Amino acid sequence: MATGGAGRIYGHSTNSAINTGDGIALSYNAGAALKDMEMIQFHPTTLPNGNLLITEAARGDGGYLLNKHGERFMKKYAPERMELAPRDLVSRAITSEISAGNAASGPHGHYVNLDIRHLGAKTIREKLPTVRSICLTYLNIDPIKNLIPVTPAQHYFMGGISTDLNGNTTLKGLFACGETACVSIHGANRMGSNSLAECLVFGHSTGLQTAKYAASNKHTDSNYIKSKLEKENQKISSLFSASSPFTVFQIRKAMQETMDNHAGIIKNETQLLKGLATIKELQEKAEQIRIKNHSLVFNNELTSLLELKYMLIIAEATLTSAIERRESRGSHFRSDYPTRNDQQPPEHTIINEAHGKMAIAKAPVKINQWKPADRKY
Amino acid sequence: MEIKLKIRRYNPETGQLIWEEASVPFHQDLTVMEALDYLNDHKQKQISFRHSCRMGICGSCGAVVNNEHVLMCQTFCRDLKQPIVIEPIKNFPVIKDLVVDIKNGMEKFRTALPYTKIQSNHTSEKSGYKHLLQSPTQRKKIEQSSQCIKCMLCYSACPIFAFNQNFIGPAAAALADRYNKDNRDHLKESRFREITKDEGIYKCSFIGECSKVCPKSVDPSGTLQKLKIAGVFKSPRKSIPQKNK
Repeated sequence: MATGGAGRIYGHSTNSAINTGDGIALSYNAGAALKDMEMIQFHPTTLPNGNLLITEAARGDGGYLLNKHGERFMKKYAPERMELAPRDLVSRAITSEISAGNAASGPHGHYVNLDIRHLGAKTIREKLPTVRSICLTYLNIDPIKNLIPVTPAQHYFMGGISTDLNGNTTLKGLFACGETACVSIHGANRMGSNSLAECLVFGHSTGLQTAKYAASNKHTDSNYIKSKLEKENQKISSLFSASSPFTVFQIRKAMQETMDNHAGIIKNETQLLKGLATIKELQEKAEQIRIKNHSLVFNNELTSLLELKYMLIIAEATLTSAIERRESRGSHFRSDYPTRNDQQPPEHTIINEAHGKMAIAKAPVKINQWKPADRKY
Repeated sequence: MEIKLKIRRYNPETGQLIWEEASVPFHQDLTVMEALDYLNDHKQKQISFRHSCRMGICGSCGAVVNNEHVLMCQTFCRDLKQPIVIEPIKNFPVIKDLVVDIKNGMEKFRTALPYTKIQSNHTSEKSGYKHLLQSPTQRKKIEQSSQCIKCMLCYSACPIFAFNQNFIGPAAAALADRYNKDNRDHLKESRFREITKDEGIYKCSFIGECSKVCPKSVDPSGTLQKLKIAGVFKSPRKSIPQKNK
C-alpha cells in the first residue's frame, strides 16, 4: 500500500482530491491494524480559498504572521520562537486570534496575514518562487508588495497502517509505506519535509522487503482470488440503481463539515462524541446511496461513492482514537485535557476490526534517542 | 449570475459523441476545474475528467479550453469568453469525455532515460558517509527543465506530434536535457543514442507551440534546437551506404 493519506475527510485540507485514504480503509477491512489515527497535523498557512499550501519556508526564511491590527501575534503564544514555533502551536494561535476577533475576514472566511515583503524581491524570487506563483495565479497579488492571507487547514496524517521498519503490517504479506503507513518516525507531529525523507527511506526498505517476500512466496490460490473478485463485482453491481435517497456529494459534504467542526485543531470529548455519532449516521446513509450511471469505464460517480465509504471508515477511526487519547500531545490537542500526560509512559492508539466494529487497544511507544521534552517555545 | 459551458463528451460504451451545454453559478475565483466539479456535485452530470492537486502541480487536469491548451485548475472562468468550450487534450486517444490515454506519451519519456546511476562523488571527512553533491550553480542548470509536471499539454499543442507520432515530442526532449545537464549523471552517451534515433528529436521544426503552452515555463522548443545541434556533433559519422550494383 502506497496510497497516501486521507486529508479529504476534512473540508479544509491542503491535500489533493485523491487523498481519500482508500489504502488505509482497505487494509483495515482486510484485518490490518491502524495506529495513531488521531494524530492529524494542521498546517498554519494555507490560502482561505481552497486551502492551497503556502510552504513553511515562507516563515523559515523570516516571514511574519500579522493579525488584523498588524501585530505579530505569535509573541503572545511563543515569545522566543515566534513564527518558527511548531505547526500545531501556530495553527492554534491563529485559531485563538480568530476566536478573539483579531483576524481579518473575507469572502472565504477568517484569515491572518503572512508578511514576506521585508525579505525583498530577490530572496522571494529565488527562494520562494512557488509561494509567489501561487499568489499571482490564485490571488492575483504579488507577495513582494502585498500581504498573503492565510488560515490553518488539515495537512498530514501521522497515523496510518501500523508497520515496522521494513513495511511489514500486522497482516502477513501486506506491506505499506509513506503517508498511508504509520512507521512512527513522525511521532505525534511531523517536522516539515520529513514526509519526503520517509518516502525515500521507507519506500526503499519496504520495496526490498516486498520483493523478497514475493520471491519466496510463489504460491497463490487462484480460486481464492477468483471468489474474492466475484464478490467485489457483485458488490459493485449492487450499487447500480435508478433511484437513490442521497447523493455522494451530500454525504461527503456532511462528513467534511463534521470533521472540520468536531475533530479540528482544538478538540474536546463532547464535540468528538457528537462527531462520531454523526459519522455513524452518515455511514448508514452512504450504504443507501445508489449510482445511476452504470458505466464501468471511468465512472466518476462510482469511484466517488467507493472513496466516500473508505473516508467514512477513516473518519470513524480518527474520532474513535481521538476520544480515547485523553491528553494533548503533538498535533492532538484536547481543550478538556490541555497538557501532555507524563505520569505514565507514552502509548500508541491501535485500532483493529473486530466483528464489524472498531476495537481499540494501546501499545507502548518505543523511544530510542529523543525523549519528549518540555514544550516551551 | 451564471456562466455557460459547452463540454465535448464521448461515451465509449455507446460510441456517442455530444456537445453538452450546461451552466454554473459564477464567482470571481471560479476555475474551470471547479465548474466541472460543480456540475458533477450539484447537477449529476457525471462528466469524467482527471484532477487532483488543484494547484498546478500534479498535471492531471489538462484540457483544451476555448482552443487553448491549459490546466483547468489554473484557468479562471472570469477570463474566458462564453460559452466556455471544454475539450480533451489532443493527439491522444479519448477514453471517455475529457479523459485521454497518455500511454504513448509516457513511453516517449521512457526513451529519454529519465534517471541516472547513483555514484557518490564525495566522502564526508567528518562522518565517512558518501554523498552525491550538487552545487547551487549546478542546480541552476537544470532548474527550468526540472519544472516539467508531465501534463502532456505540449504534446497536445505540437503540430509535428499530431502528424507523426514517431517524434519523441517536447516534454521527453526537455526531460532528456534535464538529465544530460545534471552533474550527477553518467548516462549521457546512451541517452544521446536514444534520442537521436529515427524516433528522436530531429522531426522538430521549431514551431514553438510547446513552449507557449507549458504551464511551468519549461522551454522544450529551445531545448530541442540545442539538442539537435549537440546530437549532430555527438553522433558517429555514418558512411554513405553503397548502392547495390
